Amino acid sequence: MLSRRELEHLYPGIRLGKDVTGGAFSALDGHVNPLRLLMALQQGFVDAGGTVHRGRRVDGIEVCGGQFRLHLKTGVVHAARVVIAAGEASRVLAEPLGMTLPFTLQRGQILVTERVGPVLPYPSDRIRQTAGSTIMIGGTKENVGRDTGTTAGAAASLAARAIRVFPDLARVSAVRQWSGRRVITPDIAPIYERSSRFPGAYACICHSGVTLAAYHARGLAKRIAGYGSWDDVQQFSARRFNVQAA
Amino acid sequence: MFRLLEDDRGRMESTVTIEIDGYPVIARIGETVASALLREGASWSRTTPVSGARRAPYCMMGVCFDCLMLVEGEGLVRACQTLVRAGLKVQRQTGPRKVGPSC
Repeated sequence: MLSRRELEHLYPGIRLGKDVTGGAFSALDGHVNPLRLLMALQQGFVDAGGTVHRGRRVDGIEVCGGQFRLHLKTGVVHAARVVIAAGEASRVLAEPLGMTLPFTLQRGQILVTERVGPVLPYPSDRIRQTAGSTIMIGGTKENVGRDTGTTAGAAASLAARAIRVFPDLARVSAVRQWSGRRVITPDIAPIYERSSRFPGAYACICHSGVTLAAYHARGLAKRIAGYGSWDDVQQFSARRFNVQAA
Repeated sequence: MFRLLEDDRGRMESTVTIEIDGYPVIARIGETVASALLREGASWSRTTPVSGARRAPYCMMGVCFDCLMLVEGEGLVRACQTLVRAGLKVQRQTGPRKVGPSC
């Protein structure tokens, strides 16, 4: 935990609002650029000998003689191992493979400012400056189903909160507002599922693949590939929700 | 946007004067600031804060954000989504917005 004075040392280029009394700092946290992450993951997959089928929707997965048959519009792909990581579409794909994925949808709205000189050397969970030098201000948590609209009320409250923390942001224009749907499990932690009925089938559900990229790209991927023990991953099975409410 | 054709109805002579960086620019009623800018010799709208290179209106449909310009009273807006009106004062933005105690 940091005092206000210590926080001021971390952010020498911008003033803190009078309401800021302190902060929390973790040297293990960082910022991952989602676009670059996606590119790196796909490139790594291709470099390892994989083929990416872009824009090919999987309509269903069948089990056939210990093998998985993925039905694509353009044909069938056979696989010995399948990992379902399709966000909110995962449930439909995972059910027939004996995996139940409880989750709800949550809308998050984000404000993006014009590009400004570098002022935020550290990302925070709500306000961070991107490599492209815009400032991203997040995020609402709304239970509105599949609606990905944006609202003036959210823009106002996100902006007000950002200005309360960094008053100088009042002079910066917001140029974009967008929203997306998060996949939220009952305890917000990820679900990493391994089918016991159909060995070789896995499902991953979380918010988000970006936030947890470091673990997904190494620890989890290795275990799915069969290296290392699944024991420490087991606690993230959806079976943890199969308890009666007290 | 792209309203000029459907709005002109034979009154193409209807013009207003806007200001871009202090210089008067004749614009047609019903067109956007970006469209008026593109007729100018210096048709660039801003410099990108990343490399400093000049940018001009590109997509004209509000998605590329290369035509961001400072409009008096409105702040930084997309010129391709802003209709001209008499006396509108527009400025090109050069360099990143400065934020901090010193300004």
